[in-house]
Amino acid sequence: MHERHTLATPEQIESTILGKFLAADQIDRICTCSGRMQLVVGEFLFREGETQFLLHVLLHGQLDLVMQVPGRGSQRILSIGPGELVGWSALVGQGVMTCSALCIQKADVIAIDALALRELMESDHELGYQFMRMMSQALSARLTATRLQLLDLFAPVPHATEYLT
Amino acid sequence: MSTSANATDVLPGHDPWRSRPARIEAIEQEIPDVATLRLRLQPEANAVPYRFRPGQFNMLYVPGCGEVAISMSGPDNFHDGPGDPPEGLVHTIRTVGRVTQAIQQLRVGDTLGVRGPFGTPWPMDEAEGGDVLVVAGGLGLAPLRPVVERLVAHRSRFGRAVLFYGARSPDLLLYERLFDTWRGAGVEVLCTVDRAEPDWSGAVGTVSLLVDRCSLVPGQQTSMFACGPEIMMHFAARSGLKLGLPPTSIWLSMERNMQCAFGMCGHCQWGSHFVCRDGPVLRYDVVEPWLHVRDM
Amino acid sequence: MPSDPAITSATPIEETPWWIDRNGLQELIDRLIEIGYEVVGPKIDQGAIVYDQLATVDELPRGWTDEQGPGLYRLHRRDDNELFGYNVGPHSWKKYLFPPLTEVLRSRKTAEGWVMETPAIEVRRLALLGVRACELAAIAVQDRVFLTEGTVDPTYKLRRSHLFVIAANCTQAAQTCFCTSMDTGPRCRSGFDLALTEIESGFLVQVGSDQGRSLFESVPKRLARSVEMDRGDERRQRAVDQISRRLNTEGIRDRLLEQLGNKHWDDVASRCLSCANCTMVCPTCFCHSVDEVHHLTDEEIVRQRRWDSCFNVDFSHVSGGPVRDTVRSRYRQWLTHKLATWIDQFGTSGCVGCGRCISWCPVGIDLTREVAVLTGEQAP
Repeated sequence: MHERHTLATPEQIESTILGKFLAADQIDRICTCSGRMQLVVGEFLFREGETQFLLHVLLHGQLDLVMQVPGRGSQRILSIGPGELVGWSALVGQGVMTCSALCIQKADVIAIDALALRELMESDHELGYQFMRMMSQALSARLTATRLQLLDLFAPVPHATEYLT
Repeated sequence: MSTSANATDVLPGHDPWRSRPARIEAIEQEIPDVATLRLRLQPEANAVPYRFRPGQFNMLYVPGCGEVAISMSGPDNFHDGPGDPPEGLVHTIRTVGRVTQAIQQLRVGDTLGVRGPFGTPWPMDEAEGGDVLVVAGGLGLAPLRPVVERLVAHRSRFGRAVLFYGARSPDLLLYERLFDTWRGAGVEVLCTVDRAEPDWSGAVGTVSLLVDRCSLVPGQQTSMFACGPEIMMHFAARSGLKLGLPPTSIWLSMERNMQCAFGMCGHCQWGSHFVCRDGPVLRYDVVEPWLHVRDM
Repeated sequence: MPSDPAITSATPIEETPWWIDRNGLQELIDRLIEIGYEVVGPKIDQGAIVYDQLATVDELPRGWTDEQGPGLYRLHRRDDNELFGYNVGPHSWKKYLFPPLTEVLRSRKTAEGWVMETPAIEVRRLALLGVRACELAAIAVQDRVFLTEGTVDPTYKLRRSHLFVIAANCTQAAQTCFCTSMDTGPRCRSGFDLALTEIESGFLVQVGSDQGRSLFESVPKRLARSVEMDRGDERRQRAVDQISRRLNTEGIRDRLLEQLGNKHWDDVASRCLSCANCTMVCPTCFCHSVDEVHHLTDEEIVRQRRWDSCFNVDFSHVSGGPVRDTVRSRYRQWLTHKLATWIDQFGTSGCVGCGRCISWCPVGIDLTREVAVLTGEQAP
């Protein structure tokens, strides 16, 4: 399994979506409860159904969210790219992962202790507000993307006449 | 003033309704129901050399069946010397309706009619010197292929060149056979699909997410050219705006029913625009007010 | 603007009009026929005044008038014998310049494949008799559609360049007329070769072009007397005074396009049958489709253009189905195109205020009322 080997630097956090919302002092405080880990292709960051309390931010590489569908095997749902959040059930849910995160390209990940972060957000509501604002924007973008995927835009059209290709 | 009772005249000058016969030189099956045809215009006395720019389209005609608007998918010859495009007229066609079904029945050596080129081009000349983001969805890559070919052919005239391409699944990626050539020439090709098998090495998700992950070089001119389902282009443009692109640097290729192809029959009207004549390539700030109107 | 200067509208010179009587009008018709024109003008057919070929003044609807209203058109006897004592009927001159059916391409199958050619079309030199001011305006509107640089329709251009236009000033107005709102009438200002104003004793004739002057030279005539000119003014003023219908065109493009989401479109849609009558009778509607016409052997195929309408559901078909699949969206397309986006496309309104779409709507939809409701000038 992957190991948590070093602490995350403020510069690294700054380069992700967190940097767009949080001030330097807020990032410094998050650093104290963050570590870094690396994954190789085929490795899982976490698995569907597992309970864990790390919120992740991808620095480099690609992770895919994967769900097991009985009879259809594992289905790749969405790719997570650099700078993006993954595993937010650790922060907003009960820590039960709703899908698996599979490494597709060698990945460098920041892991934030979600329980410590929750305490930080409780004690510093300004940090908490900014963090939740960032989360809601990230969630909203992901929801919109999922809707577009749901529309199956490139499906064959049943009763087409003609088409400008 | 003529004094004959019935003045009979033959139509003078250029006739936009006139189709020219073209012979099919090659047919290449791309993905299921999609084939690329290479056509050669039949020699004709006084024929004007056929020149087109990326983004323009032809009306292809199967006598007895009808016409269909199909974009040019081959390398353009607009800046070349006189003469028809060396590779002929290249059209990638999906079999979806009556006319395209009739085209699918045709074989190498058969003839069909061609009128064109019609419509507005992608502003490639204006994009020179800057970065170019090409966003394609599904068969929307077909009208953008001449853009990529121009980027490949004149790579040094452009900055960063990225193709963001979204398809339904990896087996439905159009022109996948060309991706290595394009990458080799310095065009980044990033693919994403809605559904993937475990062995797929690209991304999963909508193409606008790929655009979101891109960042612009400050101070560098960047153009975005998008083609695909209308809603996909809509979100691609919004992702472009989020990156900081001005609306005047984003261009979309619209699809509407086209019959005359020169702004006269009324079929392709979309708000103030005749898509065949004012488009198909339209600037985002020009079309944005109409994108939100239902059933327009 | 039209690309051919030969067929742009000349502005007539203000000069003393001529006077002719009915024999003079007949002489004019005779002269036109002699030099090769087919004269077409108003005639009664199946209870309506339509446009058709004629050779004598006796074929004009002498002593008839029309009563019009929303969904209403009736002919009545007049108590005089006037030749032009009515307004516009279901026909417009577009059927001559932009015929309902036109061949645009012919293809022949040969051993070497298809051979394609432009069909040779026979264009008769037409003299239009009795063209109203709103109809002159409609021809000018269609000129912009079919003769704009870069998008010239060759058959329209050919037909247009063989035209002789005898206008007739309106001396009365129908209840459906609103040309004063559209600034197109009722006085004929330009775009004619000769313009008539009917008075009790005959016609005042104004010359509008060199072509008109040259033809009129050989017609027996005299200069109009001032009492006749006064009578002409009075009768033309009567038409102005009788126009009661109004359409507020002030900023109409923006005012209408602001209302694309208005609930009132649903109200219109609940009445509109999407029958396309309004577009067929409209003198400016130009939408068309192209069909394949097979000969028996399939060795020769003709492509034929025919009038179509944005009210037909298939009109906006794309790969996924029609873009405008509701009556609401189709009525909105028609009205906003006619009165708003037409201005963007052609620099002029697509409506000339002739009122045909009001009279010939089977359920009596009145666009002037719908616009007033949509833009909040009138309660629904």
